[in-house]
Amino acid sequence: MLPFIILLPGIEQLSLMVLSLPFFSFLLLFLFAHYLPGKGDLIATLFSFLSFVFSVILFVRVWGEGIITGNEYTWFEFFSAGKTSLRFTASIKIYDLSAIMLVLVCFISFLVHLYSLEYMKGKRNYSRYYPYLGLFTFSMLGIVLSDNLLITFMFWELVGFSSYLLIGFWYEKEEATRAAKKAFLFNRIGDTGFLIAILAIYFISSNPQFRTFEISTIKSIISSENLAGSALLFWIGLGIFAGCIGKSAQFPLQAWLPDAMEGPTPVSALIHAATMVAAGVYLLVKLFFLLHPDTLYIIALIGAVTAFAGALPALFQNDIKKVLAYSTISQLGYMVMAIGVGAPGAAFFHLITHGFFKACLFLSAGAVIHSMHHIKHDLFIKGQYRDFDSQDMRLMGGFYKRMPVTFYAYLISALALMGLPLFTGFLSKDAILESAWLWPTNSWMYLIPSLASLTVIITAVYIVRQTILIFFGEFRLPSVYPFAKEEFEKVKDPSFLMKIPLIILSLFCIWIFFSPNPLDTENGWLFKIPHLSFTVTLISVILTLSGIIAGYFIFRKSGGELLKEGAVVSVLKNNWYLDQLYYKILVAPGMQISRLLAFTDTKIIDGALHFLAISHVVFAHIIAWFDRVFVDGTVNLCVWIAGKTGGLARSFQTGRIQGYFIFALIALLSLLIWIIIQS
Amino acid sequence: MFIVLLMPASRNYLYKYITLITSVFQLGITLCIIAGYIYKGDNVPKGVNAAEGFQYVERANWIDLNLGSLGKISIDYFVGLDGMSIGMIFLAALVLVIGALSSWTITQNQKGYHCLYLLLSTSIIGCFVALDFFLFYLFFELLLLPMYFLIGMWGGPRREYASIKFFLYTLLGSILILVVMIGLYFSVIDPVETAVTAGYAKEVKAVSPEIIKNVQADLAAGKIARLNTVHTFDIVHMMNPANYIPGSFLSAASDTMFCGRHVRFIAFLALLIGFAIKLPSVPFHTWLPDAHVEAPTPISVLLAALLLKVGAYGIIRIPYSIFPEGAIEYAWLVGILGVISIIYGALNALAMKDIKKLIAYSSVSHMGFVLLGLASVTAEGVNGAVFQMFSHGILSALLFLLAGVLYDRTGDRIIDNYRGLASRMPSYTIIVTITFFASLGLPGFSGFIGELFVLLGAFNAGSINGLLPKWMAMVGALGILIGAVYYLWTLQKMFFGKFWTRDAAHWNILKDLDTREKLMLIPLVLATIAFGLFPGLFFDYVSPSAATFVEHVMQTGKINLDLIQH
Repeated sequence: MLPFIILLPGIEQLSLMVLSLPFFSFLLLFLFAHYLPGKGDLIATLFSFLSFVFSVILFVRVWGEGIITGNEYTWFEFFSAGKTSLRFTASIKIYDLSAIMLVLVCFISFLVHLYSLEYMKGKRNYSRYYPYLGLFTFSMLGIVLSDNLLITFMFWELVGFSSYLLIGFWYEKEEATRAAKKAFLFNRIGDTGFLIAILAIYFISSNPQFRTFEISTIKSIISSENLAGSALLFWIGLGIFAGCIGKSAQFPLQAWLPDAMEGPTPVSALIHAATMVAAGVYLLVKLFFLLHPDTLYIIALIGAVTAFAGALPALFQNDIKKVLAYSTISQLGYMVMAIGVGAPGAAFFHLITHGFFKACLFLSAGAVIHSMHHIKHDLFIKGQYRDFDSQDMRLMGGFYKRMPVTFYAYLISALALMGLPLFTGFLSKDAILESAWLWPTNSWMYLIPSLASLTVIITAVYIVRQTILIFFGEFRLPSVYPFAKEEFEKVKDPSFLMKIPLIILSLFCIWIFFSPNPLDTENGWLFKIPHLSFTVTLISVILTLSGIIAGYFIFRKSGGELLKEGAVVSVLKNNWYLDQLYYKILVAPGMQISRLLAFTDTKIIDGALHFLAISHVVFAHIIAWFDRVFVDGTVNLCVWIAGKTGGLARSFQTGRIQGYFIFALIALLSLLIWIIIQS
Repeated sequence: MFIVLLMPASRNYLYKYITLITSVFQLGITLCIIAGYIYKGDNVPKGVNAAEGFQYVERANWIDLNLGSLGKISIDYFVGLDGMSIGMIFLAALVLVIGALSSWTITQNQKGYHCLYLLLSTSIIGCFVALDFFLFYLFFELLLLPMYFLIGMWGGPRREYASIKFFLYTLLGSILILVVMIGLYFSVIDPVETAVTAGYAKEVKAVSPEIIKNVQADLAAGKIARLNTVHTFDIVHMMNPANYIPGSFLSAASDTMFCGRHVRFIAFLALLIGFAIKLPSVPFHTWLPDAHVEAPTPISVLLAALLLKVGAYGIIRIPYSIFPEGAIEYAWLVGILGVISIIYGALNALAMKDIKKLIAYSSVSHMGFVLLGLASVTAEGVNGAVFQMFSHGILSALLFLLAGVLYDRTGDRIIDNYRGLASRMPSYTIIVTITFFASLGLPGFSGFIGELFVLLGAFNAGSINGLLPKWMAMVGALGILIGAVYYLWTLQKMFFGKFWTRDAAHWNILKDLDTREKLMLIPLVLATIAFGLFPGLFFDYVSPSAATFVEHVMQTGKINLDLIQH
């Protein structure tokens, strides 16, 4: 069956296969994981492997072929006024960019599947892990493939959702669920901007026949109607960039990413380093044609600020994964900045190289954490259970001797991150920095490349710090719990399943996979980016080297403290107090308003209502009183008068003869008097 | 379909089966109707303002009274379906089955309960199919009676307060509607029957379109004697400006003013408020949280899923269709009411501690989208509004059923009293998560499509017909964001973390879903996914009518506006 699948289908079918395999994996495992052997973990890994194989085939067939646009499928349509009907479509576009991205996503997803077989084994809720991974991969691939903005947005949100599920995977942990919520909401803030941009794009054409979300159609509308550079596009670009700020953790919404490290480490490698967070950058690269020059200024500025503001806190973190998270923020800042300075190619190049080296860094860190877990576990078995933080770098050290494979994988990818020649990071980062330095047209604009170059030093310093803390020096856990010493002797490199991804990923951090010349991408295999300025290259290499040397001398002895505790340190440790700031300016007032409105509802609106009701009742009582006193009173008065009259009349008829006699006498007398008077 | 089973049997256990079977039967008939409904082809019957555009029309003279010099009263039993109602019928039939299943937990006075339930189901369906204003009004009022008793007798501790509040609020709305209805009745003739009484034709069947045109022309010229006019409650006739008696109370050409505005505008506003109470829109919404909190679960479900839709459907069918110039003149007002409802409802939901109140306020917020979409009077907006009605019907039914699951077990609805339910009730948590995300507008579920289309319509109304400014859609989009906040917060607080309940006695009674509950919940979950992934299933039926509706409102509205300003 396999050759049949590979040979026959066209590009489009092939890409749909790549897309749907993870989804089937999700469906199958979500519904039936409990009935499958090993909770379906091997099946999921197989599916992701197949998906990877297909993506490679696709890549080979597409590479250099130009743009291959698939059919527009009608998703649904509906009547608009008159005879016109509006079509909502879905389509796929595959070209060099998406083909590479596809391979990257599938490849890292597959490696993470493999790695997790060992790392996640026996963990609670294991049966949910693989379906969630499948859902994530599916939605990420959807973003990559779709050529329709609306569909892209739908996958975009779905990525946020699957990321929510995976960050909050250990749902019994309070911090994990809080982090998941935070990540989703921060993404949503950006997505609101994205959504508004989509609303505006739908009606971008003045011709009511062209109501579309198809990116290729939008492109032709913009050129045919001469919309490039219009104010509308400025706002649309800003809205799309807002989506990118959320998803790619740019300033000022980057605060969710460090917290997202609550998720399992392989997940962090896949989602919060290599793929999902890169989606924002990918989208900007894809939609580069509609970005207004003024939007680009803003993008460049935000990117540079993010690169810098992300790198500084990394110097002060003690959690092994948080350092990497801040580093990711900073690197994403580079990519965004590259787009802003008009070098989307360089940005995309860095996206790919970063995907490999950052995934490798995370997985190496995961291996170290895994060992720490083992130590904890063994202590527990011995009845020496201690609840120490197995991600705290202050408790690590000396792993170099015990875990050489992990160490070298880590080292190679760290060198790539710093951007030293011979490694991939050098090629891509250099391309970005060169474009950035050549970009300014007036003096204040030099701020942006300066920030970027400053970040180069910081990057070198924090990664040297981390390397020293984890791998060199003495193992520090025994200084807290002495009995941990003998456990350390048992620590060794992780098993085969975890080692393979590490080795493969670290290989991909070496220049040869991208360019024959370790110093130059001019003749690169995938990207051909000519050198612009050797001075910039030279300076950034010098900066990196000085960062490494400085880092080595600072942290060789100090145990990870760069500065003494103080205001600066606490600001940076807490990520510029962004969380507290958001709490102050968004959460607290928001809650205040919502409570105020609830008060309005129950007290004012209902109060008015009750007042109305009560005044009605009071009024009714007044009426009733009036009824009783006046209306009834009048009636009673009549009755009373009648009664009294009757009583009077009755009093005449007492039944006594004497009485009657007197009446008769009176009557007779009156008659007599009357006769007399008459006469 | 309109059988009310009033079986005097004394055997209690029978009632729930009777109700269930009736409603399943009803769903079956509805599915047959949908299967036979024509929605494709060049001459799709579109309904809205043309009687021949309706399908499954049944028409019978109901009340005919000769009032001498005032003309004749003609009240018809006139029902039919078009794209605006077909979705609602399906929703109603579906939710009524689920509600019947959910009613199995009712234990006291089953006979009374089920009688009222069936009466309610008749009047709900009746509202959606009636095309005669009088008939509609009758069904609309008939909703109140069973609802009042169902909340007042089977409700929670403050049920009397809630039911009276509900009753009075809705009654106020009904009075406004009644006044306008009577005014309309005096102003509108039935051209077909008038043709017969005035001697244009021998019998009703012989009346051709030309004769109707003649009648209308003569009416405008004042040639038809008062004696011979046949007044009508037919909604479709009311939409045609040619059927208004010149100089009559609500004729666009008359210059009756009220409070400085033309009386047709006032009539539009009165109807709008009348239905906005039912919808409910801020500031007429405060009956809703109380009614929901006190009502038993199945009644909450019906209330949220169907009764609110009657309000929205009423706005489409009556003020918007009969007084389209009001829709144009007051688009900004409707839009603002919508936006305020969205934001106000969402922010209020954020402050609620009771899960049912939270859901009630989220309903206010979601129904705000319906108003916003309608206000835009664009194809996208109106389709979106109708879709949102449908989608909210499914989702609010789900939400209240889910709240009911918890309440049935513990009798406690306070969010803060639970933690970490996920580890005790995994299937429940999965369904809650799906529902919450569907409700907060995650793509792939029906909620997203409704909101997206409403926003599309509202955002671009400015450039299509100039009715709404762009900021309204932007603020509406913000409402989606707040929606995410309260749902995720609740999810985190109640379902994740370590298992804990305030009352230790609840520890053991918190069991996962049973089969009956799954049977209620899963069809709805599937429905929200199906309509979210394939909205075409819905739009195919609705959009021809929606397009006609938009055309009708814009064209007739402009004609009437010209007349009024004359």
